[in-house]
Amino acid sequence: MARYHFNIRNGHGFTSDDAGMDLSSDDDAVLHAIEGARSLLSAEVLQGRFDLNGQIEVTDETEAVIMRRRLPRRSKSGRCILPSGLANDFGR
Amino acid sequence: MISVGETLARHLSTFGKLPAKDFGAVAALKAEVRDVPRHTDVLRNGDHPAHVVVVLSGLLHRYTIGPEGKRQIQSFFLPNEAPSLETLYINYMDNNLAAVVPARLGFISHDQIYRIIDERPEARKLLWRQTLVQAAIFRQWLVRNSNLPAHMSLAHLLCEMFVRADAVGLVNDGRCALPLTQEHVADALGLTAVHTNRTLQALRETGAVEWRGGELTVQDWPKLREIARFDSSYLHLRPTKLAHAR
Repeated sequence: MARYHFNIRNGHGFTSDDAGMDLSSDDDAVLHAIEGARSLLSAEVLQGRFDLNGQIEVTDETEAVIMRRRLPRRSKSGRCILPSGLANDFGR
Repeated sequence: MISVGETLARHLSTFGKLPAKDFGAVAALKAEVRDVPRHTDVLRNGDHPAHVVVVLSGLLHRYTIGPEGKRQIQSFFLPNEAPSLETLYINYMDNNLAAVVPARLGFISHDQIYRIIDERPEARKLLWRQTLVQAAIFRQWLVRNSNLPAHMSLAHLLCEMFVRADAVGLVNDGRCALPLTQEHVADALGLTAVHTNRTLQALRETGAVEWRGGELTVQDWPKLREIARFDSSYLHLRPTKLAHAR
């Protein structure tokens, strides 16, 4: 197990995750970040807004960035793409 | 040092008046005391308990693992509370009771409690009331998790833990121990840990509450209550110094 931190930057400013979470691998941490990002976005949508500039980053114990990803991003065709890679993703 | 029996008698007294003779009888119950490491199950799904648990120190939680492996926490239990009185009359555990942090627990045999129930109607009423209040808390958690947005939901949980801590004498100068991790809170509120962290940050920015290093500090109780629209009546407590909590 290793300690990972999930920092968020969005319309509310920067939220650093001081507490962090023990997870088994970098891959696990990335999936955790994706799930977290989606839950933040779903709450925003329910409140009637959708921040297209949000970002989530995962750091390890040495503060090295494992992953940094825009929360949603816009595809060339104008679609909104959410961070993907969860087991319950249906063929996108 | 207060005995396990007296801890239970005091806990029951938070729900109504326990006559002195009954208080003495409950306080005199014999108990075994055990120290339990953090993250340890005290009672497991399917167990047939023969004792009721009294929390002497630490913090417990009750949880179920869902079909997809996710943990849903259904309640937290503070020191001086008795989380498993329902085991007196149900045959097996349908959920798990575990230590969040290292805990010291008292175990009182069901047989001794059955005698209290048979012989002491006032104590019986309070034992019954305690389990009904547990049900009221579960109902409130259901309403909170299905109806409130994340910031209200988190504020509501913190209000509840603060009022319950006050009821059992654990609030000092607006502070009480609440050694939960973000994961525990997330699993109680049905949120992700990332969302919980963001929500906690937003709540801190209101100046109503601080929660760091396992300690909850309520800086502005009226504001925290207002954010959560918290009404403590579902806890059915006797009036305490937070009586204005209602």
